[in-house]
Amino acid sequence: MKKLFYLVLISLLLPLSAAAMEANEIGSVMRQKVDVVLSILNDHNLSKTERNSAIETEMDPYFDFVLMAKLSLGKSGWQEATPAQRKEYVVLFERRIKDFYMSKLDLYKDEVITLETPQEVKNRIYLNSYIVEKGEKKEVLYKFYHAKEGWLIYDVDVLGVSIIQSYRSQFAGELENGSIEQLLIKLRQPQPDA
Amino acid sequence: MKRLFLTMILGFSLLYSQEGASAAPAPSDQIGPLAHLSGPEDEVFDDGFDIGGFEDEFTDVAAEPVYDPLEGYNRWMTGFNNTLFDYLLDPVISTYNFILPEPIRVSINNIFNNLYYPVSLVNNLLQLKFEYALSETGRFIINSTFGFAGMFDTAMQIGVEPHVEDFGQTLGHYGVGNGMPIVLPFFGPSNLRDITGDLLDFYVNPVYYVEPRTYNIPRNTYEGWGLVGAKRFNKFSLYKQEYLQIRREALDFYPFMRDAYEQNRNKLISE
Repeated sequence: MKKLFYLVLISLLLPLSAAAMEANEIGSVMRQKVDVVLSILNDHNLSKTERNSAIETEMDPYFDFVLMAKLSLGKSGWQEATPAQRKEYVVLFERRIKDFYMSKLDLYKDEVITLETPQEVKNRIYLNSYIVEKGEKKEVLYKFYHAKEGWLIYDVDVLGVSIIQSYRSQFAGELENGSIEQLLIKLRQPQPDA
Repeated sequence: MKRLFLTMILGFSLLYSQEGASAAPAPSDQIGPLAHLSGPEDEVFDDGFDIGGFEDEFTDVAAEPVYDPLEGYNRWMTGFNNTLFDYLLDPVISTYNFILPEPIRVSINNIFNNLYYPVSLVNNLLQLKFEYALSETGRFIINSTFGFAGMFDTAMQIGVEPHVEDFGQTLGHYGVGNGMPIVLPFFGPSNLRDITGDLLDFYVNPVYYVEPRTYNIPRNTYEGWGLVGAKRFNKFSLYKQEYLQIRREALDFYPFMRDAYEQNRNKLISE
């Protein structure tokens, strides 16, 4: 009877932990996710909106957008902002970074994406992937950290360029010249449709 | 009894997973990240930046501002280049792209890359990267023969990867700092070290020393720069869309580009 009770408990918890990854699962889960995303991209019956939201649903659980937002704003910027401003900023940032990612997908044309074996770097895990495009090999590095929920992505390097660092230098300039409110005004502006 | 329990388990887990799935697609939930916060909202938005260890991974731009004494000029030149692109380069590239389909432009790029071999070899040797020097030589031989004079990167297809090195990277390898960022007309972002490197690269290229003959290209420095320009133009034609997207999306294009350039160069130097 006790066993059965545990079974019920475990079965209740299973769907919850589906998104979280263990360190040894990163390689296989990401491979599977990349393949799902590629099959969505290759499905030409989907409209762009449908396609993007399907990809979003697939990839969302593996990114820590709140941490990415915080890191991009930097410590002093975050501390300067009020909780309400922080919340709005995080929402706007997530939208922006997703739009950035999605617009890159528009340029995708049947290229093969190769994932290497994840490497442990201090207390992070780096997953290198590359894509041969226009005769050149392009590297994309996914960086994971151990969150409460499991391993999550906190930064992506494209050709050695960290997305977080790039936002940081832009935001820092904005904060230096103005306040957090001015940054929010800029972020509120709708993204031009790429 | 057992079966009843099993049905219950199945029922529960189905219920649960459906709940989990249906929570995501609602459009309003998708926009905000609030659906997947790692803790209570108050805790997340009230904390004073409690993320141990992460700050060290990124450069604190506020604490150490980028050394950019030419920022005023650089911004102006970035604007100039963007305008130049919109009114001159874009129409020319559109025509160019229309005449030459992408695979041909990729081949042209490959030919240029193949001709860069002597420079790459010298720089690999200067950095004592003998293995890379050897594989670059292998690539040059393979691509010049089986790759039809460099039109195809046959070497990469059989797994001999490029290790292109330029003088800027050699200087960086021996500890020369980036120097101030300088945006060049037509060529875009660079820095003091890499501009020096580009000039040195030019004089390393044996083509430069060949006795001038009417059928030689380049016959002089101008034609030499013309070739460099042609190479960049052709490559840029491949990445026009990417450039436009980044320009549209950037909050502030100049620092974004400056930073991206430096990060990419630092990565190339460290390899």
